[in-house]
Amino acid sequence: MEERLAVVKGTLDVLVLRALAWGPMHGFEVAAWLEARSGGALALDDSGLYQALYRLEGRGLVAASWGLTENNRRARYYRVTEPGRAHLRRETRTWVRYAETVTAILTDPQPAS
Amino acid sequence: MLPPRVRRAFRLAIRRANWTEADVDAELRLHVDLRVEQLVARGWERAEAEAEARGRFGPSWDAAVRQLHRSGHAREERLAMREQLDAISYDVRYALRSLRRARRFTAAAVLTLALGLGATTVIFSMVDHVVLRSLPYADASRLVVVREVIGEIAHVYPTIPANASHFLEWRRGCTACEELAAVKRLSVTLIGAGDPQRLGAARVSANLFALLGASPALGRAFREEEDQPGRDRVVMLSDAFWRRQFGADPSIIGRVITLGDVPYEVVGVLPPTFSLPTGDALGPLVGLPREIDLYKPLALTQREATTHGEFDYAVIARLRPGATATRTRAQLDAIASAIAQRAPNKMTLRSAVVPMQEQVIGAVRRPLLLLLCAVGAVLLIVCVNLANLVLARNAGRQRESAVRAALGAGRARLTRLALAESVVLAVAGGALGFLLARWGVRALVALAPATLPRIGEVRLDGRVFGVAALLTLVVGLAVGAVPAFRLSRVDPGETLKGGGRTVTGGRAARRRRALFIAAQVGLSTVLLVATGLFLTSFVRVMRVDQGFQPARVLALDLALPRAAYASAERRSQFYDRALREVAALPSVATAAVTNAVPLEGESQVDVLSLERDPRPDTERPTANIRYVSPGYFGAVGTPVRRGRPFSEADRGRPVVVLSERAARALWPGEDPIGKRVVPGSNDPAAEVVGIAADVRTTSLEQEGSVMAYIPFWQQSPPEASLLVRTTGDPGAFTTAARAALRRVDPTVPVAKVRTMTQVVSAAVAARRFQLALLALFGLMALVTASIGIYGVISQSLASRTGEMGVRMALGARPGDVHRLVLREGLTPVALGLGVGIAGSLAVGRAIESLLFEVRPGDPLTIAGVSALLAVVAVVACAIPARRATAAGLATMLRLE
Repeated sequence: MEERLAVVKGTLDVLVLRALAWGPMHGFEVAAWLEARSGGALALDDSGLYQALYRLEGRGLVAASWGLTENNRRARYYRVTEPGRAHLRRETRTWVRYAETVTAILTDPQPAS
Repeated sequence: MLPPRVRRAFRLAIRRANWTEADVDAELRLHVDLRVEQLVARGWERAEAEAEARGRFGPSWDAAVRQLHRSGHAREERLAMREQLDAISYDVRYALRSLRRARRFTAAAVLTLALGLGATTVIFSMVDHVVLRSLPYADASRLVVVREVIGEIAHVYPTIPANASHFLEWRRGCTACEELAAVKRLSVTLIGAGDPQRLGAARVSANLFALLGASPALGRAFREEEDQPGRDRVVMLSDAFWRRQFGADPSIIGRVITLGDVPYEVVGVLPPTFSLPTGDALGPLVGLPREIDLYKPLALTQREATTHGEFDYAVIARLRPGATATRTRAQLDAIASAIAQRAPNKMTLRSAVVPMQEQVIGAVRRPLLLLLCAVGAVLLIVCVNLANLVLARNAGRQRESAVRAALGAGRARLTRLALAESVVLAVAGGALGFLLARWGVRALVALAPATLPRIGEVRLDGRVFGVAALLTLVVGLAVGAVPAFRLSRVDPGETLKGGGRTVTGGRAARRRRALFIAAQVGLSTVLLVATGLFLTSFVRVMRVDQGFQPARVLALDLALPRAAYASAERRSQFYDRALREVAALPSVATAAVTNAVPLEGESQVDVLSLERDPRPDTERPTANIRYVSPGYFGAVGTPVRRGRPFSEADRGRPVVVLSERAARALWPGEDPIGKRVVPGSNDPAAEVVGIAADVRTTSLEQEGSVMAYIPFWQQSPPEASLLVRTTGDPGAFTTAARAALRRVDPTVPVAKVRTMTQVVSAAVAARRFQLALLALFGLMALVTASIGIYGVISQSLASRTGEMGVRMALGARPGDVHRLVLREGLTPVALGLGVGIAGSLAVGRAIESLLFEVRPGDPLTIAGVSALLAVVAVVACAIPARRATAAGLATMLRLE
């Protein structure tokens, strides 16, 4: 397997928001979703994940409440708020533009003179 | 025991902290369990799976948990803050909605608040910049002004400016002083740039600017070696003069300008922020020009540095760190007594050391603080008014608060909601008030008398804004405090069951209303009595016998160039020709020449001696010597009470006309005509030919100085003023006068053209300014208080229509109802008046020094103010009373 990619600073928040955009999840579900979607390429630090969740909650981008899992276990469910959705939309646009620009420059066929 | 609500809130806070950590632990536990299940499902061993699950949180599980606990706390704090902010924004939006619905109330409240807060801000900015802040020099607390005290004449001149030779001794001997610098007034004529121009200037020690911590904006300051005669042909310009005369040309440095007949090199330009205290701000008799356009080195001549009789220098000293004014004075006194022992004339010499700030603003501190208190009283009246209005508004909110309380709102929440409206009103009023204040400060600075020290520094800046913002907040909280307190205390059960009319009716409400009226009336009384006292003072000042007739007299200043008019005879010829030319013009009644114009201060102060006077100099009376033409007394309108003014026939011999006070001082009880007197140290003994009325010299309030009038041909001073009494408008005569003088000699500059009416007006400018502001505040207070009384009485009647209706049904006539209302309204007014009068007596004692010929307890003033307030109060009560009874009996009963 290729070397796992460290999460670029600042993008964990927006990745978590994207996960939650699909619906309310608790912490482990978010981790599992990200692992599945990245095919294991992203090296996720679980404590970093919870830091991100608490941070987003403090900023009002997600809201949390206690609920029950399918197995009737108490879990803290996170759901994205309206400001969170707006933030996600904005950040996604910016990230895509940035990535495209950088990719274009780096993969430019013209040799460096 | 803390009230149950407080305890509950407290417990909540503690519980929350523990909850957070328990929450985090529970969350992490689930996560680890699920991870273990996931790994076991993939074939891991349970123990290894657990280790792996924890390992995913970082090298140290405990450290990770601790960090997450901390993050959890941070999260809770931030959430709590968001909750608070949301609540506040809700409160504010709610307040805005309800205020928008009550447009008239909101407009009236915001407007009165704006006026009150705006006026307070303007006056505070003046007090802050003039009195509170240190002078705009480096380390200004160590700067002092040093003056001299001659014991023998201290009853006439408590302190006098310094003598140059003494100043030099201080420099040598005062160890408490880090450095000393001297300043002397100077007038110069600028030649070569159009018409010759008279400029205000100052001769300053070379170290003055360094002492004050001021650096030139262009070029350099004076060097020590330039501070001597012969090497002093250098000048520094003020910023304003550089811009006005040279168009802010940066190549001015090094240019040579001609002052009088001497070339001077411009070596520096001072920054626009630099200014010396002008006029007499550095002490009486200093007489610096109102505008200092340029500075030249002091460069004391040999004569100036050794003479003992001239006291013309303002001395500023910077004390060493730690040195006190007292210690400095002791050192200077020691030097002074040594000088006095060596002096040819016997005198007791001491020094006076005053902190520079105190010297400059000491005299205006009390008047300015009075203005601040006056505007503060207006603001208080506005607040009391508003508090009553807000209370009335909130009367109908009991129910609403009860519902909120029943639904779980705590006291804090209810209080905040109730306060939100008054704070929003206050902020709106404060913002509008600040905008008004910007315009107000500009108007104030423009209209303030030129003699008000540091007036140029007054502006609205960060600190003033901060104080204004704080004041706005305090006003908002104060106005809303009582209604908020009441609303938060509602008992949901009682209120929702019914009733709730207790706020506007009932004994407590009646007492509160009476208190409001009394407070407003009391404050207004104090303010109006103070205004009345100042008005009376002003009227009395204007009615003072000035000793001359200022109407229709024009004054122009002349300065004869030194080179062309070196001899007294040539100067005499000029004055004679000038008088002839001007007197020949149409609409001229009389023309005269004098070395100083009445009411523009003392000058040419010298000792008046008898022939062979045995007394030492210090025991002889001091007089102002005036060199005048024979037509002077007619031109200025000063009656000659005994004898006659001098005439052309007296050209051959020394004669003098004395003022009444002079005659009394020299020969009390005797006929002075024919006696001989030596008017000044430089004059020969002269025969007294006439006695003129006393003329006010420095101000209308102070008795005129002792005067000796000598015919100008005996001395022919190079600087003099031309006085022209016209039959028409003196202002329109200016061009004709200038033309006449140009015909005599176009190289003589004409400056400071003014009418004597303007001079009198300038003399009372400060008093007039203060009166105008006080009157404005008095009017604001009166209007606000009367609206307040009207409002309160209307409210009271609104809540008692039923009662009134019953009374009238039982036989009371409208007149009886009116009397009842008047009694209810006027009792607190009378109470307020009484307390106010007592208060005004106390305030009057504090401002006694500012009054003129009127006692603080002046019965006429107090009676006048009482009558005014009584009339206003009666009208303010009568209108709602009339409206109420006119509504008709049936309406009144139906409303119940």
